[in-house]
Amino acid sequence: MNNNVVIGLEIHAQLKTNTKMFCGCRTSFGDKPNSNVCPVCMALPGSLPVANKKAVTYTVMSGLALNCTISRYSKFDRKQYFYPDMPKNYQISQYDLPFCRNGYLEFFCDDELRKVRIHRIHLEEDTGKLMHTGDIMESEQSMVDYNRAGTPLMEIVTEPDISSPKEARLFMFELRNLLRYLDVSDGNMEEGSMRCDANISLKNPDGTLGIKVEIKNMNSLKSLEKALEFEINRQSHVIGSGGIIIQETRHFDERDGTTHSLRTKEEAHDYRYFPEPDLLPVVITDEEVMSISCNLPELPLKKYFRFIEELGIGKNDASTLVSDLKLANFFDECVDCKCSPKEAVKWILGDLTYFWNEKKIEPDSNVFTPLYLKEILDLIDEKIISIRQAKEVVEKVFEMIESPRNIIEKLGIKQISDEGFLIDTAKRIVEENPKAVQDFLKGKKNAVGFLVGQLMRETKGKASPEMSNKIINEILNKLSSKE
Amino acid sequence: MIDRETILHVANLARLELKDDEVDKLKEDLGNILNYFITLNDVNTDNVTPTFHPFPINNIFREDIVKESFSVDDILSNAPSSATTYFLVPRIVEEKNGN
Ligand SMILES: [Zn+2]
Repeated sequence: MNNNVVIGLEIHAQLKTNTKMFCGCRTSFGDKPNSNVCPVCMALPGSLPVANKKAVTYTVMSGLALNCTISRYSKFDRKQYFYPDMPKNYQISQYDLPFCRNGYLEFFCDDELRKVRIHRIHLEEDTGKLMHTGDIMESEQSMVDYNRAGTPLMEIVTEPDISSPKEARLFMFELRNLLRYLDVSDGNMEEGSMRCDANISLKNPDGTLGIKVEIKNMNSLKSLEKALEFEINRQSHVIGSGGIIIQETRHFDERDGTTHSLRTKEEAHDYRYFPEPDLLPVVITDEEVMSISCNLPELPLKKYFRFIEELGIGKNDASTLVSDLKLANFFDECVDCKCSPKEAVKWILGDLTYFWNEKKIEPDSNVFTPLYLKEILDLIDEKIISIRQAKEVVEKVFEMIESPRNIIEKLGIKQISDEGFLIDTAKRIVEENPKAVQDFLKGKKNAVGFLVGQLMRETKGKASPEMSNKIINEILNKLSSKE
Repeated sequence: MIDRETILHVANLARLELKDDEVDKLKEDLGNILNYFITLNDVNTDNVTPTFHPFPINNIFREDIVKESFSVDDILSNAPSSATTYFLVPRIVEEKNGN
């Protein structure tokens, strides 16, 4: 890790509301262009915005989950700029009184618990989308779709506490996971429901902060890490060859993994914020904060420690479970059904994950339920099926969507534990193989393995290896004591 | 008072193209307006909490319930130019900064 690297992130997360921030239009993704727009989000004269209560609640929830101080008095502000992605020519945002301030997020990086401070979280509206037909330099016009314009967008700004591209990626992973636990955002970077810009600078040799460069357009966690790595190299080279870093915004290019300068007029930054006269201030009481705080779900880090400390799960397994809420919930339900936590984890992260992925279904799809896992574990405990047969039953559950007990009944998958039948078959096998018996009596121990194999073959694998071994040994030992 | 540079800067932000004599006139007009507002500086506001909105009302919200939007045809009927259901605007080459 290069401890001269200083990174801060600015994350935009679309909130999972049904309607837009200031009007009742749908927020759905992928609808026909401009089908979810109305006079308010189109800024027609005389229309007035009204704030979506749920979006405010979601922002406060996120702030509390990120250990922020919640402002008791907030307001919305107008941010003016000319760009055709907003019909109003301004964006409603928050300037000096955001809903949340001064929080932090803890996460693991290289087995070490790291803490990145959150500077602020505010609520604003998303913009529309601009598209070009064909080559941007040749097309005469740009196409605009305002379906996304006005979607509630939460902006989370960190302090510059991140010191490596990997740490930035892990922070984003953890933040996204947290927002998914809260169920306030999809956190889908590829689809753009979560976006991330990074500020990065290298410290000067005397320890002072270098010039900060902003990087945009990273559409996945991997891109974020790659863009930052590229940028560290680029800045080091510039400084190393006696050049100077200029303050600018650079675009990440997914195709070649480089960043390039966006030559924009710096004047565009003069947003002339002022309090939004069309909206009234928001007052949040202690009681409301308390009530939202009490209703927060168990958060990933807390779950992680509970799995380790209370359920005896290993660190890596706990971290895998916690990284996916549906997986973690499935595991919790298995434990509620009295599955042994350690056994449950083995199956969940092994065969079950394999089939969930293969069939492209989620753990909460009810195809394979926690109760089924309990049945499987019981069937193994009761020695009705072997581990190998259990794997077969799991596969069949995904095919037949029936309970394990029904499946072993229907398909006759059972371990023979009827000892009498096994002893009779074993005796017959011993009689039919006098040469193996002779070999055994001469001291060739591997003759035992041959006979055990014969027994398992005769019983088509339904006799457990332990029991087959035990019975063959008993018969042979009797013979040798007679000698 | 307000200088010429500021007038040109503000005009540019508002996408206004001003002729020289318009700059002079605006310099005077805006200067007068600013001077008038300077009167406010004489008021003692030491123990006054900032007012962000003239109405003494807070917390006006809507519930998160879908209201049918306008039809695409209606919405596009005001557009100077459109294609399929997109608005068409002059080609935007300059990337947006900030936000
Ligand atoms: Zn609308």
